[in-house]
Amino acid sequence: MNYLRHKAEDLVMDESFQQFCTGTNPVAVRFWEQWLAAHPEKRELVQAARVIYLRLNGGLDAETFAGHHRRFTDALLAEGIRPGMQAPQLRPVTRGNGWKWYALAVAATLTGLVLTMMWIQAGKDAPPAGTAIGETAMYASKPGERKAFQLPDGTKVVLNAASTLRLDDGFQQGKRTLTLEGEAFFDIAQDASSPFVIHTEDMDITVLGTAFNVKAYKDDETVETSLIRGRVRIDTRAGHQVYLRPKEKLVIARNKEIQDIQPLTPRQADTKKAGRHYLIDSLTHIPHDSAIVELSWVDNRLIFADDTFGDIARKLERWYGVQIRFESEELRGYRFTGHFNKETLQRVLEVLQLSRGFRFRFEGDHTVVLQQ
Amino acid sequence: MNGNLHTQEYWNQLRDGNTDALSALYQLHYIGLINYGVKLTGDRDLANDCFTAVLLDLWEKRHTLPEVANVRAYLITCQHRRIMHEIASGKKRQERHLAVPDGQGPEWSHEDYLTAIEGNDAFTQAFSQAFRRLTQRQQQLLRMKFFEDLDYDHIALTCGITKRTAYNIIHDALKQLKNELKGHVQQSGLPLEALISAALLLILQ
Repeated sequence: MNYLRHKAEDLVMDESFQQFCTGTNPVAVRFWEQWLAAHPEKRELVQAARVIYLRLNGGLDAETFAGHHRRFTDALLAEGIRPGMQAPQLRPVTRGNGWKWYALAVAATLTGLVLTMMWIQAGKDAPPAGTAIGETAMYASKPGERKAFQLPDGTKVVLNAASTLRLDDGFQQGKRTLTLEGEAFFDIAQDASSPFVIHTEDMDITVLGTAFNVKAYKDDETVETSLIRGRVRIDTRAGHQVYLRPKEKLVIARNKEIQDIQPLTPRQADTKKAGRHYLIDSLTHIPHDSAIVELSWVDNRLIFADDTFGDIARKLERWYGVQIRFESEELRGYRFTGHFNKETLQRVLEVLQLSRGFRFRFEGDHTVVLQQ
Repeated sequence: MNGNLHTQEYWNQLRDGNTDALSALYQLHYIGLINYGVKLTGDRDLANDCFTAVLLDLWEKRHTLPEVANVRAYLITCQHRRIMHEIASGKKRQERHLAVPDGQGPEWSHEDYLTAIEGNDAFTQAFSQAFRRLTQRQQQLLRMKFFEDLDYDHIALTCGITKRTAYNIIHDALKQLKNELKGHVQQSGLPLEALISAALLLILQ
C-alpha cells in the first residue's frame, strides 16, 4: 500500500495505522516506525491522525495497551497458562474481499496444519517450538478481486486480480524470497541485512529497499517492472542484468520482438545492448493528472494508454472476472485510450464504443462477446 | 475491526486448546471489549480485569464451549455478565472508580469519559466542540467505528445503510474534525518518540 498520498483522515481509517496507535499489532507498529523513519516529513501528519484516532478510540494508546496486556499475561501465567505471543502479530492486514484469500489459503494448506500455525512460523521473532519448517505461505486472488496485506517482515503488498504470491521456504529465517505469478505492488520493509528477491517465470528481481510494481501474468505478451523509488536489480532468464532507476520500467517481451512495443522515451544505450529482448522505458503519466498508468490499479482505476483491444480485453477479464470473446479478429488491433474510476464493465464498453464502433453483448453472467 | 472469519478461526482454536488463540482473541477484541466495560463503569482497568477473567473462564470451559457464529457478541455478553457480577458483589473497587458526572444516566458518554481521563485542557475542549459540531449521524458512526470498534458490515446493518455510505460518512466526519482541529493538534498528545518507545517496550517485553 502506498501511504504517501494519504491524508490524516485516510490514516485514521487504516486498520494497520490504528493497530500502530494502539500497539495491538507489533507488525503494524514495526511497519509504521520504518515508514516514519523513511518519510520524516510525514511526522506532523501522522501525529495529527494519531491524536484524532486516540481520542475517538477512548484514549487507548500504546502505553495503556502495554499495561493492560501485561496484566492479562500475568493473570494467564498465574493460572499456569503460557500466553501465546505470536498469533495476532501475524494477522495479515486485509481489506475488501480479504477473507476470500484466507479461505483459499486454507484450501491450499495440504499439510493439515492450521493456518495460524503457518503464520506463527512465518513470524520473525523466535517462532514457538513445534512449528514445522518448510511450509509455504500462499496468497492468491481470483479474477475481479484485489487484496492488500502485509508480509511477516512488514513489507506491504497489493495483489492485483488473478495473481498468486508464494513465500519461499525460509522466508522467516531472513531469506526474503518469494515467487509471483500475476501482478503486485510492493512497498518493501527496509532490512539491509536481508535482500528481498522476487522470482517470476521470466526474471528475478533483487530489491535494494524500495517501492515498485511487477506485472508478470502468464497470458500477457510482456512482463513489466515499474520502479517508484529506491533501486532494483533485474536478472532476466536470458542472462541480462539491468538496474532500474526511479520512474523507469523494464519491459520484457515474451514471444514477440521488442520492436512491436512502442517505447516513449527509451534509454537508447540499454535498448541496443538488449538484443531486442527488453527495453527500459519511463513510466507513463496521464496528462493533467498525477496518476501513473502502471500503478493506477492500486487506486482502483482502470487506465488504457493507446492499448490494443486485445490487451484491454485481457485486462478487463481479470478486472471484472469475465471471459471476453472476439467474434471478429480485426477488433483486436483497435487501439483505445481512456481511464475509468470504478465503472461497471457495461459502462466501460459503452465509453469505448464512442471512440470506435463495435458491438457487444453479454452471454450469461460471465461472458462478453465483441462484434464489429 | 476484525474480519469475522479470523476471530471465528481463533474461537475454534481456543476450543482445541491453543493458547495462542487466547492471546489473539484478547488483542483482536481489546478495544471493543474494554470500551464496552468503560461505557458501563467508566473504569478501563476494571474493564481489562473483567475481560481477562472472561477469557480465563472460557479457557477453563474450552472443552464444552459451543460453536459460535458471532464471537464478538458472545464475548460482549460474557463481559456484561462479568461486570454486573463485579458490581453486584460489591467488589467494584470504589477507589479506582471514576465518579459519574452530574446529570448523567447510568452509562458513560464517550465525551465525559474522555474529559475524565484526559483532563479538561484546551485540546480536549477543542475536540469536544469540534465533535459536537458534527451531525448526530456522524457522531454515532464515529462512536460505532472507533470507540465500539465495530466493522463496517455491522455498522451498515445496524444503521440500515450500505457499507459504502457508512465509509463515506466516517471519512467526511474525520475530514471535518481534522480541519477544525488544525493548529490545536500540534500542542497536544505525547511526542512521537514517547509513543515509539512505548511500542518498543511492548514488543520487547
